[in-house]
Amino acid sequence: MENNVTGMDELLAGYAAGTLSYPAQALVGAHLELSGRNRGYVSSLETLAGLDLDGSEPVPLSDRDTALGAIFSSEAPLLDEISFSPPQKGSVSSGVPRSLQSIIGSSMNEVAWKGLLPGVRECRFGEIDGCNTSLLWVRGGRALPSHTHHGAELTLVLQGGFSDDDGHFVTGDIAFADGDVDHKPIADKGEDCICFAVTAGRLELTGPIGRWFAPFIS
Amino acid sequence: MANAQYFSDLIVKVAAERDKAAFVELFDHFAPRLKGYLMKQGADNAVAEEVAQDVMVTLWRKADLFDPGKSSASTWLFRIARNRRIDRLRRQKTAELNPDEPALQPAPLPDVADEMDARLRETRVRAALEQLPEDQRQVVRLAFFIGQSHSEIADQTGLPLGTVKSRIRLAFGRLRQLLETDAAVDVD
Repeated sequence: MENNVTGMDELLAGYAAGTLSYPAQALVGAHLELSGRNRGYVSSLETLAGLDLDGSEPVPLSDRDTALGAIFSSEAPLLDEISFSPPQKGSVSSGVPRSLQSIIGSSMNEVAWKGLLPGVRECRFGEIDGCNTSLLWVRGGRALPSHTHHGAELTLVLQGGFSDDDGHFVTGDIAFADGDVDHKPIADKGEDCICFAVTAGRLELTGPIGRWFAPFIS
Repeated sequence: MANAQYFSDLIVKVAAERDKAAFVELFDHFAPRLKGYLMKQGADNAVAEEVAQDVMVTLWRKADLFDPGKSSASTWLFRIARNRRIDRLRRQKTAELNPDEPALQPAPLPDVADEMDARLRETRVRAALEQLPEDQRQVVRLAFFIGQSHSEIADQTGLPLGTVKSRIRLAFGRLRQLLETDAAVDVD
C-alpha cells in the first residue's frame, strides 16, 4: 500500500471536498470505515474546508424572515434521515460497508455474482456517474488475468487481500492504478478476496464542483 | 474564528433546549456564508440558497448529533452541506434513470471523524496551510476550496496541465506531511 500513494492524498482531498464521482466518493467512504489510516488526514481537510466556509463572503438571503419561518414551522421529514445517523466503523464480515450499500445492497449474500473464470466471479453495477462500477470475487490463491485499463482504476479490498506489482493490499486498502498500469493481481492464499472496483476513462480526481450543480440549473 | 466556541455552544443550546434565539444567531451567521461559499463554487443564487436552507433545516432538527468535542460548528456544517449536495445530485440523476432501481438509490455517505480535539485540529490545519509554498497554496485553493478541475486550473493560471498535476500532487502530499509531522511533535 505504501508503495502506491501516488494520487492517494489528492483522492482523499477530493472525498473531503465532495468532488469525486459518486462511486469513487462511496469507495473512499468505505475505506475510511474499514481503515483508520487516513481518517485524521480527511478530518483535517474537512476542518480546512470548514474554516474556508466560515471565512466566505456572506451573501444575504433573498428573504431571510420567510426562510427562518419555514424552518420553525415545517414538520416535514428530512429528505434523507439516514444521512445523519452516526457512522459505523464495522468490518465487512457483518455485511457491506455503509458507504457502499446504495450501490451493492445491504448484504454480500444477495449479490448477483456471475462466473467469469474458474475461481473468479464478478458483479457489474453498470456505469454510475460516468464510472464503471463492479465487485470482484477471487478465490484465495487464484491469479486474475492480466489487464490494462484506459483510465484510472480504484480498487478497495473488502475481504482477504491481493498482491500485484504495486504491492500487497489487504482489507480496507485502496489500490490506485492509472491508465498505464499492466495489472497481474494474485489473491492471497486462504480467504477469498472480494474487491470493489471503480474504473473511468475520464475520472477527474478534483472534478469541478460546478458540475455537481449543473443538473439543478438546467 | 476566535468565536468558534461561541457557535459550538449555540448549537448545543439548540440541541438541549430547542432554543430559537440561539438558532436565529446561527442562521444569521452561517446561512449567508453557506450561500456565499456555494456561489463561490459555481452554484447560482437559487441553488445556493436552497442548499443553504437545507443545511440550516438539518441544523435545527439534528443539532443533537453535533459533538462539540469532535468538530467545530463550521466543520460540521460544511460536512452537512457537502453530503446534502451529493444526495441531491444523486436524486436528480437517478430520477432521470429509473427511480425504483435500488442500486441507484442515493447513499448516505458517513462522516468518519477521528478523535482529535476540534480546536487543536483547527490550529494545526491553519498552520499547515500557511506553511505551504505560495504556488502550492494556490492550487490547493483552486482545486480544494473552489473545486476546479486540473484543466480549469491550467486555464486560469496559464500553467501547463502537467505542471498543474504535479503541483497538486506535491501540495496535498506536503499538506499531509505538515499535518502529520505536527501531530508527531505534539505527542512527544
